[in-house]
Amino acid sequence: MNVNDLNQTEKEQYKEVASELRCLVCQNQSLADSHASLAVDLKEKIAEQIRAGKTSEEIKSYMQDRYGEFVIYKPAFSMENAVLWLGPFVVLIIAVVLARRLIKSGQNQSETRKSSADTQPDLDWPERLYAKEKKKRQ
Amino acid sequence: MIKKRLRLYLPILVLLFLGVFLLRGLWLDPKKLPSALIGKPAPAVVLPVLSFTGSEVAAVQLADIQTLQNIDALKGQPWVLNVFASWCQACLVEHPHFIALAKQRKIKLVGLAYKDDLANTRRWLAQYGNPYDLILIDQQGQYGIELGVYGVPETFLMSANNTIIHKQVGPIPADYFDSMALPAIEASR
Repeated sequence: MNVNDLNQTEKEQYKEVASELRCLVCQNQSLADSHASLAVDLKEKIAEQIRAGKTSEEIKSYMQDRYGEFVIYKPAFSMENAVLWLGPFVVLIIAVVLARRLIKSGQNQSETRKSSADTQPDLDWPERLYAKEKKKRQ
Repeated sequence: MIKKRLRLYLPILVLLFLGVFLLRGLWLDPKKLPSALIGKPAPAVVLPVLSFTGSEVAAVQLADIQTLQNIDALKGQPWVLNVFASWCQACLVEHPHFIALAKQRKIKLVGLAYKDDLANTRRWLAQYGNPYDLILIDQQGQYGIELGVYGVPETFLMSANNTIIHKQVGPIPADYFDSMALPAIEASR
């Protein structure tokens, strides 16, 4: 069965399902974009199942049962892929905390710099350092 | 002081941590997928059998579609299902290993001629030798879909009660039986 045998609403569903499934031969393409022979076969399978009145979820789980979760572009949340789902948010939180700290310490520093700039510049620091070293060596 | 030191080394530590993951990534093959079907029963269908005695070449025979084989009827002992095709280049890489395995008679070998012209399949088998005890035909690739085949050759190992216990995508290694099949059979018992 071909896509062209489907009616308009069925075609909409077909497009949606085919673009959410991965082509296994050329892994960075969706089934909808791929012309690999396996992709063509699978698309025919999708068309058949749509005609048979299957829901998009049923078709996707049909593919997942055979080819694994890998075929689903948007895999469901599970313990195995929790890192992938939550990782970005954790990194974002860390980034915000770090940024806030950096900004705060930057403010503090510029304030201290300002206050020290108000007083006379400290010009006799070499003498003091010399005295200190001398004391140490005695 | 210690805090400052730590801060100094932190970027290097983060880099090393990332490096470990990236290094591991170099040895991962993203084309190899875990089979969703491991531990599940082999899809039970009836498939046509390719008649091949070795002497006849290229002549398409009516017998092709008159003999049928029920997958369920293959139960009783572990067996190997090798998805192959005459148009498949990588199949030639593993073919000598199957010929050797067939000579040792260690396990039943079933071939699945996948989306192939039968005349070509016969010619191919006549040229390179036939290691299979039984050759099934899947011209439309429908059984391939049931098995989740996405790249030929693929080799499935079935247990005595037709559970898929191992899958090899791509050519089998020379020591397939000892390094892959036998451990999987032992583990499934």
